[in-house]
Amino acid sequence: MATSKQIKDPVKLIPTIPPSGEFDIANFTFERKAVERSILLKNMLEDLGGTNTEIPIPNVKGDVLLKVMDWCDHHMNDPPTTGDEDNDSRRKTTDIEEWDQNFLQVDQEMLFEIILAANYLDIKALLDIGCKTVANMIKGKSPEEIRKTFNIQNDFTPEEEAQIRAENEWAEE
Amino acid sequence: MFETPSPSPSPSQTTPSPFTTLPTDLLLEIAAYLKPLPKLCLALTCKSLLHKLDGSKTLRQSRKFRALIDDLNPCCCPAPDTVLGTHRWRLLRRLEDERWKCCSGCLKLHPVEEFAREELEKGADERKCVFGKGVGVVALCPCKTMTVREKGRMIRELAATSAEAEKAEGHCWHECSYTYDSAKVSVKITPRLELGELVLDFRYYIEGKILPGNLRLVRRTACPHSSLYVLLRKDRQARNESCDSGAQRCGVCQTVTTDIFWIIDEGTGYTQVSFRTERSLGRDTVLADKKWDLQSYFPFKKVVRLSEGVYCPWKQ
Repeated sequence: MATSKQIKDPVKLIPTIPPSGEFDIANFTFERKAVERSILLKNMLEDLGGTNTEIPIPNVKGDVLLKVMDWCDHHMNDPPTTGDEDNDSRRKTTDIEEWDQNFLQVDQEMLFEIILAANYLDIKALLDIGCKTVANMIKGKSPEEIRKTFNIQNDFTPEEEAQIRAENEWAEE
Repeated sequence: MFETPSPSPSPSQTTPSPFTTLPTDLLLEIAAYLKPLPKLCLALTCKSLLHKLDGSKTLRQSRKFRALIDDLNPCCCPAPDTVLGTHRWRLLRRLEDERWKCCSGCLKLHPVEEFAREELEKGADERKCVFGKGVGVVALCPCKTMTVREKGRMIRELAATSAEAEKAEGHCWHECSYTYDSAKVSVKITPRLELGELVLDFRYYIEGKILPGNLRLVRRTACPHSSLYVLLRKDRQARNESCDSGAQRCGVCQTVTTDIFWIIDEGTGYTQVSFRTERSLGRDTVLADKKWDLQSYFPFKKVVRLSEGVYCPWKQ
């Protein structure tokens, strides 16, 4: 965890939706460099100036914020993303490095919360690996298997399903 | 302190799907990492995802999922691996369930009632529907194929129409143009019934800088067993020998090609060819008949090369 280390340049993030259980603000103090993995927070810090800053974080649950900052802490020394990368080249591969794979071994609710948080906080690299992880869970599966994996309700009637199959010449009776 | 939950995601039955609450832009972000087949499978899970991922129907109606044998070499029967690798066949395999099973002859899903019990026990790549071992797909042009069920429907419609109006001349059923390299091919297809058999009349017009070698590239003309190159070579031989073109008959399926006219500009190589081909696809029968068998491709059989440019796609 970020809080177990000596923090040189601390930034406090105050989640407006506190985590479940006992809430200790000390757990929400992070290295500035890690916080700056979020382009949203980096811009806010630049606007605020000074040190020992506190930033309220709406829209992200405390538990999820801790998890996201865990990722930012691990990746704080990565070269910064410019945002100019070609989308197609980013999407060519769905390979995910081992640490990130282990990091995303979470239940589905948390996985999707991480994706939503990464999108809100503008952490491109985390958003990428979150989306890749979900995409990897879809690959090789039939529609029925995907429904089971993600608990998607099949709201097509048998007639509607047959119509789609007939329209596209996939089925014939 | 964050505690890592269970490593394998497994939603409970009561938890709503995260996909139902995901903003569309993030759904599209995830879908951007998917190739067409898994993307379509995701889209087919529910109405909302189908609307968001393929509201325009572009994905599901793309040629790779619609065409029965479009990707394949139409001059000869494709290797089984080629069929198994097509997007369409892999999609059909994934759409199989208790109600629908793949037919390797028609390259379509049929209701399970349309298979004999022993066929249902076979793998999808060997399974054939009630129309028997003669089922297959007849390629008419790059955008039209016909299955044995479609043939039956067409025969019944023609029988009803002719009983009503007793029309001597049939109506053009399909017309299209397509290109192979520099050659532009135009074709009109007119069906008619002849003693209960379905006969398709093809009128071809081909032009372009195509002679001599590029003729081999012009596919899907006349019958499945000869290329245009072979057809015109035979025609040239016949003209040289008798000064009369006459008709060219395929030795395998007996398809007749007549009215062959061709002009070649020796200087530029620009060629114009027109001819008429009649293909008999057989009757509306309980089992696919011999004529259908001769005209169709059974995608999972191997091709036998009879002679140069002449292929026999149904014999092992």
